[in-house]
Amino acid sequence: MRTRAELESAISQLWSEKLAVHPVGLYDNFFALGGDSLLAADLLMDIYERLGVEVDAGVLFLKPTIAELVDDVLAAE
Amino acid sequence: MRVPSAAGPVRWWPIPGRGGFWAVTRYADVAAVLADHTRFTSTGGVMLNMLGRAEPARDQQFAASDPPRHGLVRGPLQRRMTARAVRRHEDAIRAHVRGTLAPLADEFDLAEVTAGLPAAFLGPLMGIPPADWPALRRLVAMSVAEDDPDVTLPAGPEATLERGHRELFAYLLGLLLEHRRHPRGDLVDLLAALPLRPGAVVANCYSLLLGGGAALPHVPTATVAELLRSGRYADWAARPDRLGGAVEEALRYTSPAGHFMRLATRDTTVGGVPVAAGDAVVVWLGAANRDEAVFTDPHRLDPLRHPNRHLAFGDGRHYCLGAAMARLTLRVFFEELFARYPVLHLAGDVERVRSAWLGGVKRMPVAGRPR
Ligand code: HEM
Repeated sequence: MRTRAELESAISQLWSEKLAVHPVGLYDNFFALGGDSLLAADLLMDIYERLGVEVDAGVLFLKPTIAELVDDVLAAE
Repeated sequence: MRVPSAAGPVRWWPIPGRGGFWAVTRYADVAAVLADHTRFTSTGGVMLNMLGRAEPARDQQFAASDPPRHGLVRGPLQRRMTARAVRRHEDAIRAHVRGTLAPLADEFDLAEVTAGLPAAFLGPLMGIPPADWPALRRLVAMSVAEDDPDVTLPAGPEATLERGHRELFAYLLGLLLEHRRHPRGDLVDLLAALPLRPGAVVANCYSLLLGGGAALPHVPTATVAELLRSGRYADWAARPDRLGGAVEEALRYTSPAGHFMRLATRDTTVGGVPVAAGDAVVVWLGAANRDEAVFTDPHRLDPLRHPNRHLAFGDGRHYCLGAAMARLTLRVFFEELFARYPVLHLAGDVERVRSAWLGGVKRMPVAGRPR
């Protein structure tokens, strides 16, 4: 199991790759940073395949911040 | 800045803050625009709500791509959507339709009944459980009729559109993951096996869901509304043998998908009117389908109309992928409705959808005694 800090840094790295934005703040909104729905779907699959973590798609699309995603992952574990 | 012209078949409509578009309403002009994907591209989005914005699904979603890219995704799907291929779903569709008609009381809302129709084929095509449809249906409405007071969120139409779209994407991403774990051999699996990024797979699922879910229910509802208004419902119900032509006429007459958009790729003309490269050109299918130059007595709903080369499913390379499925579902629905209700009456006010894209009826109380 990963700590909050580990998840935050791993997810923010994937997020930076997708958006070509660096650094990404924990409370930045994915869509406000230039993300679109297709990129969000790519990101979710990346998190799933590279980190082995399944993020709830509803959280990513409706509360799209790293803080919310990590909360959701920790709650699910 | 162009000056809006008051008359003429091709008119410029300014939209504050978003430029504007050329409105094309004559049959010949609409068909010409749809036929020519080299002069009129789909990559800038195909619905007016995309006007003046970049289409993120451009070249990713086949509906927002031009040939040859368009065919790479559409080709494999199309083999599953021919009249022959969809016929194997007929029994399942009929069972679904009977299941929705059977529990009805002597008075019911026909719009509510037809709203459930897409669930009949979204299961077989995409593995969407019928139980999910009531919630999805609302999200589809938010995505195509964001101005309708039934679905507009307090934050406004723009926010409604975005919310509907995001929730549908989230749902479809979940559906894709589910298919990865348990493949069903349906269209979602087929898309997932193509060389597409996950976002593109989901965007194409979105086209299937919106294409399949939005327009179809409005064909039977608006048709029955006209039959009841003109007192010809019982005539239609008594002649199931005419249904083939009647379905085509219902499609022409109702044209629920009101418009589609293209962007001009170069300076050109439409119906003799100069159009500049980059301009949005919007074809109005309902108007084209009532063009007197092509259809005699176009405002009359005539099941015997022949020929009836309507444009309700569009034309050219983007001709509706679901046309055969829609025709099958509509025929089965009319057969079952007419068999069960030889006579039907209006039992309240008919309420129309408010939308720049979707033309149809959202509430229509009717009364009839089932046979
Ligand atoms: C009465 C019901 C329907 C109507 C009136 C309708 C209408 C249309 C029209 C006018 C287009 C052309 C869009 C364009 O030119 O940009 C279209 C495309 C499409 N429709 Fe339908 N449709 C219906 C039902 C369905 C169904 C049942 C499905 C799926 C099961 C479906 C899926 C699609 C898809 C995927 C496209 C995009 C095709 C492409 O870009 O190549 N539609 N539809």
